[in-house]
Amino acid sequence: MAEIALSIDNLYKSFDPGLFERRVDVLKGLSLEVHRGETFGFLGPNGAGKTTTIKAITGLIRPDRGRISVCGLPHDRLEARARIGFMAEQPYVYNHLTGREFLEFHAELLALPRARVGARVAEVLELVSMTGPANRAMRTFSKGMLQRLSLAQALLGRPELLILDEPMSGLDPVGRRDVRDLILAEKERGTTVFFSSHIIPDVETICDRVAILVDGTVHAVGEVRELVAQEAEAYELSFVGGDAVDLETPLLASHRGSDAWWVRVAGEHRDALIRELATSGARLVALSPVRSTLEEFVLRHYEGGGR
Amino acid sequence: MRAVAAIARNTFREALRDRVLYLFLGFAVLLLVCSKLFGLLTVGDEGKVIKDFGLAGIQLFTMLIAVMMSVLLISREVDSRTVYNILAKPVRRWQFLIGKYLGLLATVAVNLALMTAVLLLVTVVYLREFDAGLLFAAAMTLLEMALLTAFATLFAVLTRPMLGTVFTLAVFVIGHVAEDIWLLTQHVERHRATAGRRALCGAAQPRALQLQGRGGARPGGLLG
Repeated sequence: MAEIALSIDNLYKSFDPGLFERRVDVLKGLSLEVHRGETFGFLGPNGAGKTTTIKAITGLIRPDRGRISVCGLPHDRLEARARIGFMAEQPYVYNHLTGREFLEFHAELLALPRARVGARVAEVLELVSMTGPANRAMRTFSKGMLQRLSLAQALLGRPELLILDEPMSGLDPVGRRDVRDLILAEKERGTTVFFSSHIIPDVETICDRVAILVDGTVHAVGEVRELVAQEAEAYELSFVGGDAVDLETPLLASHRGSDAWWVRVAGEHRDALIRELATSGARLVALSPVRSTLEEFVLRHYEGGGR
Repeated sequence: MRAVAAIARNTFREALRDRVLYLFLGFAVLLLVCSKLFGLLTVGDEGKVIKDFGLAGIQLFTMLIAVMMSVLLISREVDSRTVYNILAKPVRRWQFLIGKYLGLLATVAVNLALMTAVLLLVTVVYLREFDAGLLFAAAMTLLEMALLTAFATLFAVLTRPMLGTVFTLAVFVIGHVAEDIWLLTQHVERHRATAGRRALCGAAQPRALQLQGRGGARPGGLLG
């Protein structure tokens, strides 16, 4: 059994909006476990409690009930906090500091060895490709640059658990790819990554496991493949050198591109189709589960469990 | 402790880059102009006027810095949520508050030191005397501001910036008139006793009693 990097047990949190308004229950008995070294995606519609959960883990709010432990330590211990690298949803910045000063300040908070602060800051700046503008005031940065800096700040202390709240929101495709590469690089290093996102294709490509949070409780949790497999009713194939019309395997859809055929086939007929293509001499060019599968799965949960 | 020091340094730097120290330049100019002016206008002890004016100015300016900057910098940290980044690090909440407080106090202290230096310079140049008493006065002002900054920090954490400013100013005013109020109550007590006795024995002298009563309360004495 894998080691647990983060465990949340039966977490409750409600907010009191004001004197005459009803309490809002945000988290209603949320439990989940994240294994060491895995990349864990945290999905949920707006208002499901993703950010609240993340704030509870990082100690920014106190849950009403429930236990959280980070690397086996209660999450409010400073030792636990030192193992977490946290990147908030919006980059929260000081207008009066330069990028480098911002990171140096955070290095001090983390109590990194003094002699190594400069080198580590330079290293992290390089990682997020921000070495160039590092000496400019942060108020002159674009949103993407701030996001990178915020990520740099999270990576500074070589955290064992990296918590990212929507790290890709508001980034251009290049920025998104960079963040994705960074997450994968951190995973290589053995860091556990816990991140929330709305961008399902990204989650699908980088996450080992995902949890779907709806209305304050976890509705589904598991490996992406597993969850998708429940849904994977269809595959898309492309092939050249044959004709879809001649195929005996029942197809859901087919159409002819400029030089290749594109067909959609139900999950149970996939293997039969591949065999048939092989015997007929056609060459298979691509095979993929229908792209929107996780998306459909997620959407069904969002809509079904919302209220 | 490094976290506290880092937060204090960051706060101080933020205040500097907000150009708070320009206030001290304004003070210097004001003091120079006024010294010249009062020198012309006053008959007699010119030195006392300059020192009084300078010390009052120092108190007013440092008070403004202490109140405004404390409330502003703390609420800015909370409103812009930069505090999230700090508290998600291995930093306790009290460390954040102490760091913030020390940074603000450093800002106030540096301003105070610069203004006192200007005042000393003016006294040396104009009056050809070095008054060490001014240093003592500055030290006491620093003590007062340390207390005031603590109140400002408290209110900044508890309420909105606007209310925080008002509350802290109220503390300043209350602190300054507290003695007067206390003296006033002493007066009133004494005179009420006298007035009561007179009322009993001399109901025939209402006019005199009225005058007594008014003199005793001395409302003008409090405000003037």
